[in-house]
Amino acid sequence: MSELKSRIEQANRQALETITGGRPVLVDVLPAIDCVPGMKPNMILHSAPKIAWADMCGPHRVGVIGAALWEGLAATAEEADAKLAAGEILVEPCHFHDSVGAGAGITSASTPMLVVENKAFGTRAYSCLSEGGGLELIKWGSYNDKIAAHLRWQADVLGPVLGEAVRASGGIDIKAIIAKAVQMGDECHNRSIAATSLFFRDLIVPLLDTAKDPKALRDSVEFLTVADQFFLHGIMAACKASLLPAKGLEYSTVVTAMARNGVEFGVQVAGLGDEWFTAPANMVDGLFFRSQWSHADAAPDLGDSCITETYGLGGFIQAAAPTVQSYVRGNLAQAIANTVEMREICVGVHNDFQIPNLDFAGAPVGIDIRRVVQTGITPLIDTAITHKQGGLIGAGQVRAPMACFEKALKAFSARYAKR
Amino acid sequence: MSGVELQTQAGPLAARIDAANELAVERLSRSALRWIDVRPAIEVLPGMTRETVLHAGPRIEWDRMCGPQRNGVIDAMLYEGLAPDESTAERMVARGEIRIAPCHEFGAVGGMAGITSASSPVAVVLNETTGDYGYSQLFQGPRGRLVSRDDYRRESIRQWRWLDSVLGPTLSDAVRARGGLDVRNLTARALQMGDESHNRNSAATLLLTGALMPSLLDTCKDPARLRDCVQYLGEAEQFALSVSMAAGKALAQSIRNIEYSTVVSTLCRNGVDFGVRVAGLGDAWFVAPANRVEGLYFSSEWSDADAVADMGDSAIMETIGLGGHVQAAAPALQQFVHGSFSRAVAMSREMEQITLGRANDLQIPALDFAGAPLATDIRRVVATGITPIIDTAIAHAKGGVIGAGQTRAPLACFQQALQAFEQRYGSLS
Repeated sequence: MSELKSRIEQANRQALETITGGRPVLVDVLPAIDCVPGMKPNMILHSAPKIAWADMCGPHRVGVIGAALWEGLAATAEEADAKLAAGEILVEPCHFHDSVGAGAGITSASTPMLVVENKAFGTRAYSCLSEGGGLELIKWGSYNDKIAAHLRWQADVLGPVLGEAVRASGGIDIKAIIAKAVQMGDECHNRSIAATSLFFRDLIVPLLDTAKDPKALRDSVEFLTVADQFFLHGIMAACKASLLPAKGLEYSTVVTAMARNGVEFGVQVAGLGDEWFTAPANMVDGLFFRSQWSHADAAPDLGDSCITETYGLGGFIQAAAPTVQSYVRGNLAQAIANTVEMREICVGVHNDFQIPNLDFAGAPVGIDIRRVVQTGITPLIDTAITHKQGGLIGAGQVRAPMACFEKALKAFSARYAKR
Repeated sequence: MSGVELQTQAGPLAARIDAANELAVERLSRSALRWIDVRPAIEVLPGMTRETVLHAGPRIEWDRMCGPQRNGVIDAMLYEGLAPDESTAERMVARGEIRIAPCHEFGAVGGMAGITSASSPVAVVLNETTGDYGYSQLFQGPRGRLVSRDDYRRESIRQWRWLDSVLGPTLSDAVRARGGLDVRNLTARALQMGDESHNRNSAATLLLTGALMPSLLDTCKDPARLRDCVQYLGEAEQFALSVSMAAGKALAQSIRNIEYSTVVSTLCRNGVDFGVRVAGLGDAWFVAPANRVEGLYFSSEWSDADAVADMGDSAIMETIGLGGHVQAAAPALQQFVHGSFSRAVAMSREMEQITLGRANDLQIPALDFAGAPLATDIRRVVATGITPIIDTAIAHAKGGVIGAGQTRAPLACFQQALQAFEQRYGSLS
């Protein structure tokens, strides 16, 4: 083996150990301005990669303007647009601030954030709260009075109630939740029902102990029991917190982030630090929730939620969640085959996440850009479908574009091959 | 029909059997089930009296009863104030002053020893399609760790007291305020979350707790009591089994008397005998020695020498097509039987050979969403030699749950039942 190759192998082993060795714990819920590194009052975060205001997709445009209005940064949509164009309101990817945002990922100063700490490395990552179910949410690029009122309630009531309970609980062990959830039919991206139930069980007694206002408690509990995929956002922040320590690991070809902004797909690689490798995002293949919708209406792949696949969940463990196959008219055999395929491009497995339908084999993790390019197999992502003008219209699966990995590999060679 | 095709000649008897079985399958697979209340046994069990103590499994003479059941009956008598001490209690039983009978004969089911007495809070489930009720007591034996008979009695009585004065009334208020809970829907979702609804019920318990939480907040105004109950539900991962069993009983009641039907209406055990009843044979019991349970013990301190034979009415779950019939839904249980995912799937396929229908609303993802196989036919059991597989817990001879695994219903019960069926209705060959 050449020296370069052995250095790469060694770095990748370390990356794997780092990523799988994380211990993400939910430690707090706080407004973004109070916890997200580099957050500013006039800043709105969105799903990566970076994109100019003028180039943003429909869901982002609607969501960002919505957030500007909601935060009082502008009085009208026209004023918001002008300020965004002039740079008086800033837009940046959540990822630039150690955060992740599902769908449009709209996060602003007052947004209540889940604060997740990776206890093994001390790194923290953040995500906004899930607004719950429904087709029209700011995360899907919709905004109206009802959405604004719900966001207000989340910021004024739910966030503080959750924060008190989480702090009193001493921290919610997200890794333990994921480990159980993947044995209860979740793949932790398109399906996080078990994870949400487990989170609720962990939190309910601290909620009872700390909530002072009966109405706030009642409304929060009602919301949490109806929003049955609430904990996806917590899982996402946990994935980010677990991947962060591997960022910048020299010589490693392991992917540390994947994200899409409805226009481009972006990839970050451990040995290439902060650089993003981008290419046009693909269209999602799946089912539409109403017969009036079709691919003609769909925006390209959108969201930071593929941080779950980056961490070896979601599309990488379809075998754990056969129910998700209904979105692609698949079956268990296909789900198993897809998981087996993802092993080909990963450097190892999570010993802590065992997939019952594969006789408890560990979930494949640690995407190696070399293997992606060599095999032609690109990461498979379970995901939602958004409307070009905003709103959730379906769900299914999508592949990360090969071009991102080719560019990354080229950059890797340029940086390391000469040494 | 799935599985083995039987050689039945055409004729009026065969046609009547088919029609009766079709009705049984229809009722088992399509009934709506709602958990509507929790009430003391004396208030709701038909024929219940203060001097009655019920147990799991078929009828059995006092002298033949296993340790946990005998001890449970005595403890219940002390708890209910029927006797001041153990020796008085024993004398009263010997003199026939206490009626000791199966839960099943009083419209109820009881897990493990299944001891149900007048004050026992029972989950009340209504079969909204047929109007039948099913009841199940809530007590769950402590998991081992109890050193002596006296310890076990103290723990049982402590738990009974708490169940009947705290949890029972609290759940009753919440369930009623909510308008009840659709158990069928709960089961359908839980089966897609790693439960098979007998040995593994964690998903159902999580879902049930979440569904009740708003009503619990609305109706339980004592914060300490609320916290206590919520904490209990969070820790008692098997809690939903009691509700599932009551629902199973509400289904089984609807087929307890269908003339000409060869479908099994009851599977149960009392730690000594296994009991089977058949839809076309009403209340008649077909009894044979219960088998041992093969499985894993929760601690290396226990072994087969400590265990009681198969015990409990929880085989009502297999009676309605769940538990062992859908092992593939809960691969996490395979470790208890040194099996594998493919073995779990094979087990479900095997049960398809002795059942007549499917619950199409209870879909098993690992079986490509096939519905749970149900309606066990005694003719098929005898013809194939395949007996129902039952996922179950293992009880210590002195009380307490010490392991989990699987076991089979004894073939002899089905052979006896088939003989009785032919005596009543005519030869099948």
